Amino acid sequence: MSRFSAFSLAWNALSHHQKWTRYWQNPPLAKKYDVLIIGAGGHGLACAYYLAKNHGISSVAVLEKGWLGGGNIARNTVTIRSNYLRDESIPFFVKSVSLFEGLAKELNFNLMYSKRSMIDVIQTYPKMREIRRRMMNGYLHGSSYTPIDVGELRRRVPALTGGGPDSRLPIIGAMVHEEAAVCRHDGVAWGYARSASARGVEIHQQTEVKSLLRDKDGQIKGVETNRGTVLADKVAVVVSGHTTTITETAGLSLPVKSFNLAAFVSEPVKPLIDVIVNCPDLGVYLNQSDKGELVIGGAPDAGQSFRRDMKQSVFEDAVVTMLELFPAFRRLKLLRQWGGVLDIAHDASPIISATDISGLFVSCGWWGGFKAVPAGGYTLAHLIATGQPHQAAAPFTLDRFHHLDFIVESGTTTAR
Amino acid sequence: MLTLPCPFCGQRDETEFLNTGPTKPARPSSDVTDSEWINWLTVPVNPVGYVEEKWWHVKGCGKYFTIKRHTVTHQIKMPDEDSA
Amino acid sequence: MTHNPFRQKTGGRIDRNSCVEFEFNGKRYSGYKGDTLASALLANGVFLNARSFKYHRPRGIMGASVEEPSCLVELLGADAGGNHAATTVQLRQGLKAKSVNCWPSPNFDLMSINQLFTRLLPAGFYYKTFMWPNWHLFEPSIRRAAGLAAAPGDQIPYQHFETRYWHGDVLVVGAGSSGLLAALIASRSGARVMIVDDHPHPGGCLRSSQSKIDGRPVIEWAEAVCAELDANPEVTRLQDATAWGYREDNLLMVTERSPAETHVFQRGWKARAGRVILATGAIERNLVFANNDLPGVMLASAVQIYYHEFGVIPGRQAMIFTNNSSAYSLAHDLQAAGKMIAGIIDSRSFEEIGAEKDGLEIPLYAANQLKAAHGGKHLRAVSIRAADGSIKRVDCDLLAVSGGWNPAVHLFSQARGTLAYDDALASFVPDKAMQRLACVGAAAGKMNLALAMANTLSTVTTCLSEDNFKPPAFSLPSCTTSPDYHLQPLWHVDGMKPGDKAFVDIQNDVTLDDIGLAMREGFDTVEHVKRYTTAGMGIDQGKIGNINVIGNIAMACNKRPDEIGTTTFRSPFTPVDFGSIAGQRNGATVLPFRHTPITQWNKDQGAVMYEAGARWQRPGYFPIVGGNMQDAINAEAEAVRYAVGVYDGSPLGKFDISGRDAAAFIDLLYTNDFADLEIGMGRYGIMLSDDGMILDDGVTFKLAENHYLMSTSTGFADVVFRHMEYLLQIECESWQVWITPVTSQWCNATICGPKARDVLEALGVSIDIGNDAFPFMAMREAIVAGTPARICRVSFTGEVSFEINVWPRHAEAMWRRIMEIGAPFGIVPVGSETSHVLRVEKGFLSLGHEVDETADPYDLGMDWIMSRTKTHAIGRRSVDIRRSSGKPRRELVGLIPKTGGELVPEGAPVTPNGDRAASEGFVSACVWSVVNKQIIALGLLTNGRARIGETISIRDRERVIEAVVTKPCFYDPKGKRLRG
Ligand SMILES: Cc1cc2nc3c(=O)[nH]c(=O)nc-3n(C[C@H](O)[C@H](O)[C@H](O)COP(=O)(O)OP(=O)(O)OC[C@H]3O[C@@H](n4cnc5c(N)ncnc54)[C@H](O)[C@@H]3O)c2cc1C
Ligand SMILES: [Zn+2]
Repeated sequence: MSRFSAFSLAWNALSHHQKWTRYWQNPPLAKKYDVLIIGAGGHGLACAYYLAKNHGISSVAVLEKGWLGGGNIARNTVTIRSNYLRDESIPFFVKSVSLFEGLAKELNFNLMYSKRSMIDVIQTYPKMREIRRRMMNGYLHGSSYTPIDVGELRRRVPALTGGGPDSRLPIIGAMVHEEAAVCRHDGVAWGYARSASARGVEIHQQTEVKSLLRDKDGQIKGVETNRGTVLADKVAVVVSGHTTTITETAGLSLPVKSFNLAAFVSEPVKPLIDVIVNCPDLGVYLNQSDKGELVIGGAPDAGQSFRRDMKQSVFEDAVVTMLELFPAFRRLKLLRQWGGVLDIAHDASPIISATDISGLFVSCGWWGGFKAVPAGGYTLAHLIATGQPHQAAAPFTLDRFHHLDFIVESGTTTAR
Repeated sequence: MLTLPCPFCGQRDETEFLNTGPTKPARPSSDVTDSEWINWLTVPVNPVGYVEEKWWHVKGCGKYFTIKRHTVTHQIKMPDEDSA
Repeated sequence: MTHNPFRQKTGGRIDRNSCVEFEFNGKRYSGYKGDTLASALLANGVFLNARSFKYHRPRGIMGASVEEPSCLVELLGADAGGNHAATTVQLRQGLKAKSVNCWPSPNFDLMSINQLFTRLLPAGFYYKTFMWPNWHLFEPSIRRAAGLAAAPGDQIPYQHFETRYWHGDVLVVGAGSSGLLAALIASRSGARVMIVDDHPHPGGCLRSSQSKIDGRPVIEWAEAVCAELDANPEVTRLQDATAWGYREDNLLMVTERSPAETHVFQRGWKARAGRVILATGAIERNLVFANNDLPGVMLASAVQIYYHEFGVIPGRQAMIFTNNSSAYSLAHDLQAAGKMIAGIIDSRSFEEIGAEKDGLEIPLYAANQLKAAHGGKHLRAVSIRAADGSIKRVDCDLLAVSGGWNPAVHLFSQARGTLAYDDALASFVPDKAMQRLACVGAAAGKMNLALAMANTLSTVTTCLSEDNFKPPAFSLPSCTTSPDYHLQPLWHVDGMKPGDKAFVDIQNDVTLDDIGLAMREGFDTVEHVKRYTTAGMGIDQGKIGNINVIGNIAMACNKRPDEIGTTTFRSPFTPVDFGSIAGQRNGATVLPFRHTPITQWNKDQGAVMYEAGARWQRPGYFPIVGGNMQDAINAEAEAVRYAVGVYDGSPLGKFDISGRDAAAFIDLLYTNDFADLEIGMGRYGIMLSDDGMILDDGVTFKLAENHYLMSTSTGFADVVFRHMEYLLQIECESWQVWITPVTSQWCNATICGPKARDVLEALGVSIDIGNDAFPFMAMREAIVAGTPARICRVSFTGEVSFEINVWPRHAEAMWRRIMEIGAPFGIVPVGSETSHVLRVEKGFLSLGHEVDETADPYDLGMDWIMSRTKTHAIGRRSVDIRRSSGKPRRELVGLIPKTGGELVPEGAPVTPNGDRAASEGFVSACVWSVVNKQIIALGLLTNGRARIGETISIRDRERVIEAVVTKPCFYDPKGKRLRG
């Protein structure tokens, strides 16, 4: 792996950048590995990296049906935060945020990780009460939140000119979640892939898993792909949005369903907003990318879907509510919009778990899982390597459904 | 945005309706096992293909009705139509 | 007087009698009415008018329309807005604009210093550096440098955005020859037609064509068609209107930028059509060679448009570089205009060049390639490489480039149609449509007028017949023949020396070398290349360059372009104002609020109103003179406890439920038994979701056999309605039950407090309201103050309460009467803050407080509500399963915090020993109790009921507050008062 630095960049400039090497290798597909990971998204690649790094397991193949990092990791709104509500969830996301903070150096790859706070704009008292509760709960686990008044809010976000005293929902206060950050999403996939590959992990693109294979005892033994059979005693399904399609080939049904979530960006403009603004009462959130585009997200589409989509009504609601708070953006232009297929568990919390099928692991239910990529990969690797859930992810196993012991985080904030 | 066939009002814009999810199997009787109950409660069908689902004409006549919708093409069929 | 050195003496469609003054980068210029900003700048000889995004290289205007990659401007003044392609800005008197992305001016741009470091800035360079000490150090300056224009202000006085719907048979996108013909045929068939076009004038590429239709200049034909369309009331024709989004079921999003009504700034159309005809034409593509971004390098079709439309030829000495036949028509135009043409460089062999060259008397460099363009801030010369490798330098100041044409398949792709690669066109063309649409003309790959017209006629006729229209007999207009379109792909020309910059994406400054680097580093699919290099991710979305990215990837890995594929075509086709998407939806139309007949009265009293769930606005409290909010709440609460208060209970959800199986239905919904409920009496019930979580609570009265009135919480009335209808219509199909939401059919004033009965008596009531005749939980019909009413004796306050329900039209009068009659008794209106205090004193539940999506009735100490016999009630099974695990539960308790009079924030966690550790419960509500004269709270605490008497620790960040655990009721635990 060539080392990246300002110096190596200058050095390579002398040879017109002809000497840079591949980020990841392209080896032939072997017959058998110790571990197969299905899906080269953020979670799959991170898991592969930590398997090699933390557990010394490098006979790992990541099988990707398209191009690596082409799923939801490439189409999210990059909000990283840990302001969850429940004791079960907060420590996991705190861990993820802290892993993120050191990640660029660890991977020797500039992920453009930018800690910039998220400000919740609060317009109703019930929401205020809920977010205060988050503040106090988060504090117990090292996730911080600070209330600010409306004047301070407007000072920090001058573009926020709506929500005045005469508006439909006047702003009554705001809360600042300091750890919140944004980060180059593709970079996370590429950075993990590059370092995993350097540690011997193989990444096979254009390799679609068609079905899971089990031996006569029911134990997992490998997968069938468009490029033939690949064997392994441990297989992890990390395919965000497509989980059930794969597990059903082994007769395993899961409490998840797939749906589409969309986002959009404005034309690039000069710096305007330097925090993530989240408006949970209206249901829209936004941040400004380094390129200058405003990255905006709203509600998920209703109903199941396996198609990347853009529902006009959902999109329009997001635009309309954004304009309530940022009326000047009427003249700003929509530049691009897109969707992504995610899955959500019955209780809306993630699943990182072994399954009823010995050797088969799943990591799914990631509908706000970009922020969770480092901890998700870290704890999944731990589970695969040791057979025991990592403490931070212990609440997220499938066991909770056996007693209907849900982790209820749904309907809480808007920002993913 | 789709248009949907309300059996009562005819073809209407999707925004008038609420998608209330896939059709569930009949509510289990009280003598099923806990795990059968949990399955019924928490595990939805999640096909890549036609899913039979219940829509509510909430901004219209108030009728709940059943259609089949393809989860990739979003094509709509009547519940008795062939799902091929 | 207009001084336009590059304007021809005659020609063009501008109005030479109307001179238009404008300002660009602080300098004043003039042009003519009908100009675009781009044509006026070119006419004035302002060729250097932009700087590039990353390297800050000098740039000029390259295109003439939406494909313009280079010259983006920010409009200043009244209609300020950023990032407009100068080619799409209509010139008007007083227009002020400046270049984006350079400072202080494109001519002298400070950031052009970046050019010195270009070697250090290959694709993806930022991933490799800026890591030490961390990205935070570099980010702010990078952000400032990025971003093109400043964000627009919101100053469009006297104008607004609006939305319109259109429903019809045929929607034609594009008003070029094919689109006009399609609309004409459809309209003559009796169809309801809309035709939209993103240029100010119809005609598309006909406008710069010398061809003839039916013997007349093409433009006359177009005008005649438009006249016929305009005369047909079933036809809507929009110009300067872009169809930018193609949604499901043929719903197209169209933004009309210059509606006839002056008060409308822009109009967004939602057009739903039975059939869509995409006549979106084709977009010319660029060629990739060294310095192909120099000012003076333009698309050949753009030069033609400037000449025909605006009478501008932006150079003195033109050179043409092409790989196809289409650019020759420019040579013919220039030759006819008597302009100097330095030559035409064609990468095709002489044999491949067809009739297009006939009649040209200029040097033809067949089988030659343009090696590089030369110049500093403007093109001065080009180097031409002959087939034998020799290089010749030729002076020129205008280079017209044509890399061929791409069908504009954007909308087709948005509609999820599949594309096929056409070798002859070296481009992607529509293949299989996924909606009811058809592509015609150049959009379908028919690159010559006669072919396009024939294709349109047959396609549209077939579509119309399929759609049950009868297209009239229609003979194809006769068109002058033009040479067949022929092209030889040329993906790039190698530079003269390493480091020469040949751009594949002009706007995002992505070079051929960047593509090469990306591929060397393993980014070898088109999506990877796009994301690593950012090619095609600009405002123009790579309209002229993406195909070259694909071609060059294919070439580098020895594949066919269709094996590489395209990136996704995403809406919008061109950027649209968010305002036009929202239309008139703002303010109260975004979230309409609900109000009762008393809302205005409350406001008149100065009540502090706020959102109280389900979009109801309710009074929070009624401020008092000389007191703060707490004083006001105390006064209201004391009135209820010691005298009498009244609140507007109208928002409470109410459902009239009747029918043969109504009783069974109520039994299914609630966990407790209703079978033995007597007529005229009500009972409190809890409803669970299938998950076994509390969904709602409320009192249901039995009005008659199989006739009930159910009340629900304000916030969950809609959810409960959906739940009930779902059960009824889907699971209990054979049951006979009718549910009528009557929330706003019955308004109520609830009089509560020890003097409530006295007030009701004083109002005048037609029935005996003594406790025996009218006990707690009973409902009676009566005449109150001369008005028919239903009176319910329920209590959410713990005091004797009479809920007086009347029809909405009587509500305000009743309310005023109550205030008037009640005055001597000391009646006061009560807001929801006080209701909260009163219910906490009593330990009554509140959804969203104690019930936070995790509690079941046992947790709340309501074992009695879980019927022993009725195991089939919704949610019951799940509660049993959950509790069978034996995991400790959080239980409702009372708390007396030791704060010395200060409220504990609601939601504060309880932690073991007050440690900073996982919580063991939380404070769900905390109020000042007027009866206990102390702070009291409710909370959920792990194994709480067994811990009564213990002291626990509440933790608000660094502050730890001790509290004593009590029973969750602080007032009249036996309920004597409310029954009294
Ligand atoms: C619009 C949008 C906005 C979002 N915003 C945020 C946000 O702000 N913050 C946040 O934390 N999260 C956000 N998310 C969620 C986040 O993107 C996802 O939770 C996360 O990326 C999912 O994990 P992943 O990266 O592993 O998934 P993916 O990147 O989707 O990886 C799954 C991979 O599996 C592959 N695959 C699928 N089937 C097969 C098969 N049969 N064989 C082989 N490979 C297969 C796919 O091609 C894909 O590459 C957002 C998501 C969307 C769509
Ligand atoms: Zn209907």
